Amino acid sequence: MGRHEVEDEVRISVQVGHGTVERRWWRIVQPPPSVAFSLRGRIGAALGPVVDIAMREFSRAVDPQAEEDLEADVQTVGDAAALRAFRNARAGKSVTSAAALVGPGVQAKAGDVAGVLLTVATFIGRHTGARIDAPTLLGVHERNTANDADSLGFKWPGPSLLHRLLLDSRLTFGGTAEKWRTPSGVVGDDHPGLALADAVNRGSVGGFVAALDDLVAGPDELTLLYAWALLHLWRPF
Amino acid sequence: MPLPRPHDPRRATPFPTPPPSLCGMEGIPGLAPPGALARVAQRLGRTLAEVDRAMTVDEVLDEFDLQAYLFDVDNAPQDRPPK
Repeated sequence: MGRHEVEDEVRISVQVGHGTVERRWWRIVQPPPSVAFSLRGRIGAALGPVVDIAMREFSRAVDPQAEEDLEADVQTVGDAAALRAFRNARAGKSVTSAAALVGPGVQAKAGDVAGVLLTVATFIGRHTGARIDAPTLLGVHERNTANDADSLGFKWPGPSLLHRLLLDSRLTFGGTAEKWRTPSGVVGDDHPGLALADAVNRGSVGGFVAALDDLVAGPDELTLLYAWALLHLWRPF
Repeated sequence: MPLPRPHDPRRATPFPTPPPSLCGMEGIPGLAPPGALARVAQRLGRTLAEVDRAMTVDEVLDEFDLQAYLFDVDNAPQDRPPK
C-alpha cells in the first residue's frame, strides 16, 4: 500500500512592483520518513539546543488555539497523552492558510511571515545566547552581478539545508491565477513553475535553487517558504 | 528503542555511526535516540525503503509511542524512581 501523501497549499500575496500585488500559489508535500527525520536532526543541530522551544513559540504564533488545547491537556491527562493529542490534532491538517499567520480576516503578506521567523531567531538568541550555524542552515549567498531583471540580487553558491528541505518537500509553484494550476511538463506548456517542477523531479539541488531564485519575488517570499516548510517539518513532533 | 527513562542508567558508550547509505538515523533530542527509524522497520518486518514508501511521519511517530510503551511494559526500571 502506498503512503498517504500529506500536503499543504498556501496562496500568498507578494508585492511585485509599485502597488502591484500578486497572489501566488505554492504547495509542499511531507517528505518520506527517513528524509524528514534526517532533515529534522540536521536542521535541529544547526539551529541549536533550544530549537524545540523556538519552534513551539513559532507554532504558538501560527496556531494559538492548538497550543492552548495542548496546555490544557498537559494539566489534565499528563504529558504523554497531551503530546499524542498534539500530534494527532495537527497531523495532516492545513496549518498555514496564510490568514492564520496574521489573524482572521486579514490577508497575510510575505513580510508578516518573515517577521514571525525573525522573532523565532531572536527568541533563540535571547534565551540561550546560542549561536546558529547560519551557513549550514541558510546557505552561502553572494551578490548576483548578472544583468537580469528576473533574478534576485543574490545567488547561492552554497545551497543550504533549507533549500534541501524545500526540494525534499517537493515545492511546487501553482501560478498566480485564481485557481491552482499544476505544471504539466508536456511540450508547449508555458507554466512559470516548469523549471522548478523539473528540478524537483530530477532531484537536482543546483537546478532547484536556480529555478527557485528565478521564481520568487524577493527574499521575503523565500523566507516565507522556508518558515512554512520548517513548520511542517516540526509540526508532527 | 525508546528514549531513556529518568531512573534508567545512562548509556556509557557512544552510539555507533550509521553507514552513510542509511538516511534518517540521526538522534533527535527529546524525541528519538539514534536509529529509532530502523527499530520501527525491524518491528514491522519492513525494509527502510518500504517504510518510506508506505508510511507517513505521523505513522512512524505512533510506532515510536508504541515501542516506548512496550519497552516500559517489558523492562522494569533498573533503579529507584527519582524523588
